[in-house]
Parts: sequence; structure tokens; C-alpha cells
Amino acid sequence: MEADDILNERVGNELGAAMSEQDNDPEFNAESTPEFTPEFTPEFTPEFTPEFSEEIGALLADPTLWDLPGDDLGDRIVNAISLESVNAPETYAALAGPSGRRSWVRPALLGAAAAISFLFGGLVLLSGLSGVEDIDSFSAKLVPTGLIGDQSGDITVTSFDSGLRIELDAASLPRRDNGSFYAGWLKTVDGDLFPVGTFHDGVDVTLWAGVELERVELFTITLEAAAGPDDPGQQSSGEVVLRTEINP
Amino acid sequence: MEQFRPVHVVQEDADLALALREGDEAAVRALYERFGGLVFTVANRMLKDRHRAEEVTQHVFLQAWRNAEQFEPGRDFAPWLATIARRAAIDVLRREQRRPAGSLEVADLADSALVTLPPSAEQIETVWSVRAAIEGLEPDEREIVKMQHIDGHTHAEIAERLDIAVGTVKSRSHRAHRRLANRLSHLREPNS
Repeated sequence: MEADDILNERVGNELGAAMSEQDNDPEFNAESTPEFTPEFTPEFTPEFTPEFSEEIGALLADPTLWDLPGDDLGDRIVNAISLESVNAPETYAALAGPSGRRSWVRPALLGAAAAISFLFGGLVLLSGLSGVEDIDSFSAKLVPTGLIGDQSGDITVTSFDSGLRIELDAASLPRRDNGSFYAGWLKTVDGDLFPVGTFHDGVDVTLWAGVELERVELFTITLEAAAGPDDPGQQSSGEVVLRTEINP
Repeated sequence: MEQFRPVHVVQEDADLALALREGDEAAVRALYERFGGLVFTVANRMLKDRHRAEEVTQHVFLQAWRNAEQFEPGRDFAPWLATIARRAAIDVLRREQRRPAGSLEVADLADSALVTLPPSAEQIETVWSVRAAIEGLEPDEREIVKMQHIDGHTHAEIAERLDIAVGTVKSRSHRAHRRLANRLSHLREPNS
């Protein structure tokens, strides 16, 4: 490895200097610079054997190597972790182990769990006294629109401080592939439409949304196609296959 | 699997590993910002579907969060995350292979269910390394390399599209491929 490092550094330094000269040299004949192809082995890079060039060239020509995840994926991951950290304190108690690590996390989460339990208990008590239905969790039957048949399903929407968890069970939905998929949407009383996630089949799907349950009036599932480069917005197709009103 | 990243970069990840083990959610975001694109690429390369690749990527970081105690600070995050990503993508492919089989005559050749052998850990390392090398290019170099390899444009066509001199295109391309060669040199066969 040391010999390789020395070689790479020497090659890089020499070529870096040479390329700087070329950039500034008005006499530099760019036409004499060969194009890189998988078959081409640049003489200045002994690392690039023909076989190596072919393998790397094939990967560089693979669009999946250049594709990027959606801009909101990081937020979705952090949101999911945030929700999980509130709802599964035992996980962190277990992770903390006997060494006492996460010592500040464990009491905080246990405290939060206790507070949530207290609030939940209070809500249950209040709902029992007033006859008002508990709004922390809401289940509903999904109604088919007839667009792709009479498939149905169920959702359970659970409200947390940081948003809503929507558990979907719609196993009868036919699987979508090859650029086609389903998307879940929440429509609020203000008419705003929030995307809550995408999926290819309706088995054990969990979706998340940063919307207050009280504001939501409708949940829909639409048929979608992967957006091309000219349509990166991923707006709803409007092709609703299942829907349900949400009236907590 | 030890040479995903240079040693000094691995060392820089030690603080991040400690924060992750302490349950710091900000560490998860930092981890995603550093490795999210790479994990996504592994999943996307295996599944050929960006939506499922995003689902796998989310799963990988949730798993990393849940199992942070298993990770020793000072080690390289990359092979750990790549291994989780590969397994998760294989799980997705296996689930799809359990779907009711249709006639082969009408089967789509792009159907991942027809793929029987998942990529090896070594192949995943190569994919990861190439993606990391691409991310390491300067934006103007990356653009030109992409136009060459993905769009199949010649230097002259790239120069016309970017409204720059052909010589500039060639020198940037030259420099970019030299960078790629250097950054991917650890993938060479030892005696090649």
C-alpha cells in the first residue's frame, strides 16, 4: 500500500502540475488529448488497466450511480427516528445497557413516557366523562373509488407531538412496479394536500406526516408514475384508488 | 471491505460514532448527510427503483440508530452501513421473488424477481467507492464526466452545450478521470 500511495501521489502531483500548465497554455492542443472510454487506458494512470477501466467505465455509465435521493429523505429519516424515540423508550433502555451510556437519554425518555402516559390517561378519563371520542388514535375503513377495482383496506392514524403515524393495511391492492407506485395523501380542512409517503404494495405500510390530526379531513391513496426529468415536482396524479374521511 | 475510505476520514467519524451511541438525533442527520447518497446508491443499484431505494435507505439509518451500540467508534462507518443496505435490499428482492409467478413469456426482463444472484460484498464495495469518487469530483468536473458517460456526448458536444472551449472540456475531463483513477486505485487487483 505504501508503494501505491507514493505512486498515486507522484502521478497526481505531476499531472496536476501538467494540467495547470495546459489550462494556462494558449498553445495547448486540446485535440491531442484522448477521450476517456472504458476501453481507453490513459498512459498517465498506471492504475487503469484495461480490465479495471472497463469495470469502472461500466459503473460510470450506470445512471443509478448518479441518481440522488429525494431532498426530503433526510427529514423523513430524522422524523421517523424522533417519533420512535418518543414511542419506544424501552428500546433505548435496552440499548443503554449496564454501562450506563445514554444516562441522560434514559431518564428523559422514561420521563417523557410517563408524561405521555399521564396525558393519555387523562384524555381517556376525560373522554369517558364527556362522551367525546379519544382523538389520539383513529381507525377507518378505506373505500374504493372503482378506479382499479373493489380493493379495500384499513388505516390507523395515531397522533404524536411531532406528527401523525398512519398504519396502512391494504393487502388487496395490486403491486405496482416499473416506475409505478402508490402515494398516500392527507387533505386538511384548509384544502392543503400533504404527501405522506409512497409504497409499492399495501402490506404493512407505515406513513408519517407532520400535520395535526384535528386539521385532517381526508386520506387518499393515488396511483403515481415516477416523475421524469421535466416533472420533478411529484404532484398528485389525482387518480384516487382508495379514500376515507377522517373525523376524529 | 477495509478500504472504503481513507484512514484520516475514518478517524474524523469517531466523534460522530460517539454521538450516535449517545442517542443524539443530530448525529443521525450528520450520518445521513455524509453517507445517505452512498447508501441510496447501493440500494438503487440493486433494486433499480429509486422509490424502493429510498425506503431501504430509511430502513438502513433507522437500523443504524437502533443498533448504534454495536458500532465501535474509530471504525469505518462505510462497510457497516453498506452491509446493512445490501442485506435490506436483498430482503426486498427476496420478498419480490415470493410473488406468484407468471409466465416467463410475459415476464419483464427488468423484473428484479428474475435476478437470482445478489451482488457480492466486493461488488457493493466497488459501487460504493465509485459513487464516493464521483461525489469527490468538483461540480464542473462531475458535470462533464456525467455528460460523457451517461449521455454519451463527445467533448465537442459538451463544449457546445456548456458554452465553453473544447480544450477546457478536455482538460477538465482529463483531470476528473485522473482523480477517479487515484481515488479508485485501491480497487485494483494487487498485481495488475
